[in-house]
Amino acid sequence: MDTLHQILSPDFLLRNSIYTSVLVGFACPLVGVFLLVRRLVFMGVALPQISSTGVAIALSLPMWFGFKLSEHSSHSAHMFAFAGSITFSLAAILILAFLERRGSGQPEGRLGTAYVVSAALSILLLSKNTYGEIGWLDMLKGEVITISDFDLGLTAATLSLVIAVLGTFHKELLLVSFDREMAIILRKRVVFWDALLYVLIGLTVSMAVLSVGPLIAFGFLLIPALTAHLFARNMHGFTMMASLIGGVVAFLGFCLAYSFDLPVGPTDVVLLGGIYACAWIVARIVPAGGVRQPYKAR
Amino acid sequence: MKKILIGLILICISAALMACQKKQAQAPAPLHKKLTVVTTLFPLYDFARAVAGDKAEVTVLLPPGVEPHSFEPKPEDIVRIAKADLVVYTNEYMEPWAVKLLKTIAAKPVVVDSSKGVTMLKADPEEEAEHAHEGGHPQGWMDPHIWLDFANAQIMVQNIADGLIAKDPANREFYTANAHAYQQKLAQLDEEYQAGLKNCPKRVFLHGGHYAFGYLAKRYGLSYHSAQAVNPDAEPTPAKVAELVKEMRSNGLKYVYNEELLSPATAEMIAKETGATVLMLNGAHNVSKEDFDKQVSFLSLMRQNLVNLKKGLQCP
Repeated sequence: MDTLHQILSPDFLLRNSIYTSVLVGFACPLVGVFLLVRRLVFMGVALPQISSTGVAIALSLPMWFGFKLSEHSSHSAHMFAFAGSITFSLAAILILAFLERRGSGQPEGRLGTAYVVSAALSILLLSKNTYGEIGWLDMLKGEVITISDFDLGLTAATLSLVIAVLGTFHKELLLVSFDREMAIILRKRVVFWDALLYVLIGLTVSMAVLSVGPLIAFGFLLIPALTAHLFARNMHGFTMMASLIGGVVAFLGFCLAYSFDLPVGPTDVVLLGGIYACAWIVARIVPAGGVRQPYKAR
Repeated sequence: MKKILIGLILICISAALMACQKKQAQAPAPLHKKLTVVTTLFPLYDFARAVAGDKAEVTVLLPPGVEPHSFEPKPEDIVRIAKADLVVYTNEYMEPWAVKLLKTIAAKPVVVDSSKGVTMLKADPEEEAEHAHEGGHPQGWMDPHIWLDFANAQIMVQNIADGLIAKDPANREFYTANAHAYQQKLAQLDEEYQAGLKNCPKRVFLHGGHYAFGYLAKRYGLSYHSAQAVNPDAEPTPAKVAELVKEMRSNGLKYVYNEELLSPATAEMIAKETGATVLMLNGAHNVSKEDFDKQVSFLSLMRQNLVNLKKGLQCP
């Protein structure tokens, strides 16, 4: 209880860290449900890594163009990393989504290739940067413990924007995700709504990667949505449940990490995995009539 | 279509092979009148060039600015090692790859384990304190940062000199004299630290980086806490950071240290929380490219550390 009091205290040392974790925990599942609905689960694997590569490319630009970036902890370095992350994420997601719709062959293969090539490219870029790795590794893997007020502000602003847009246009986004043919028939601007959704996904993933790193971003993108999927009766419930699971686990994971002297990110992901496993077992035991009906859009 | 595809693949393979050949052709033919010495870390590089003087060409494997704990040699590095007359590495805990690799190289350069004769400390400081009274060879992972105890550094210099003499016995006196001169400088540095730190009212210092200064702290009777374990890839835990803040406040510390080549974010956060100031404490694993080009020395880095330590410990 003492630990909980400490954590909930407004002047808690790591308040920025916990606020960011919970924000990411709430926001990532909101876009994760769309990845699940659109059967783009593997994109949730590849995107955080691609975003991380965008950070590596952005931080390599000074070397390529002959100027020096200021110290790692400065706002400009973080904005640079954010710009690289989001640019690369958006480009990748739009290309992958386009190929998904138009291309032949195995989408999983494309996504798997994108993931492994991005990971390798990050390593190569790091190895060739004459300014060395100062702070890069932290930016590539996320720095949830040392979130500054600026980073918290940037994360909050970006994710709030994502949540607001998702909330405002959720019907349109659901329609084009669930029933594309119907959307076309109803003359909805399918390409526009698709593009908007991918922009929102890209923004969320970029911000999450910079704050908490690719591993945790992926965990929060998919596992809460997978868990909620076992019990949700409709899309609204699905979304809310996934977001709630993400936010609560982010908070609980932080508490556990603080109490048992563990790193936050891996604790969150293992906790998510444990909850998903338990939920899966419960879903098998509870009678089908009450819970296991497929979800339906409102 | 299939033929076009096969043709394209063959063209790509040929282009790649030609690129490799071009790189080899452009590499200048090495002049091997001097010994070639390859070292793994910056302190070894500095010690080796002091001892070898103009009798050897000393290089360092770790590129400037690169964090050493996660360094793995590339194929080009392995070729350099194989072609060297002498290879100097720190110890098996700093460069685990070195022990395995050096056994497999057919050319068999003279290999110097610079930690030979050094008493190592455990990587976990609490475990070290618990077993301090026990004798014998300690088990488990050891703290690899041996060069930060200047008595150890003198042993490392001697090991390097012995390696050079083994390879080039004709210049024994030259290497011995240089090693002795450098050991004198290290001994003088040690005395400066002893004198500078003995009357400091604060006897504890906190570091926002990884656990690197255990040897230094032990030698001068100081207490030392760091945000991360020996390997800087390990993430600092929230409990550890909170503990450090508590230590800062309970000891009335006004300074917290960060380290070279790693993010200062943890140190800055602790400083912001406690109203402290961040100072650099350089572990000298590696230096930045700018410092490398300026030819900074191990001794100058340690002297700057002493200035910052005295400030942080509020020494008179």
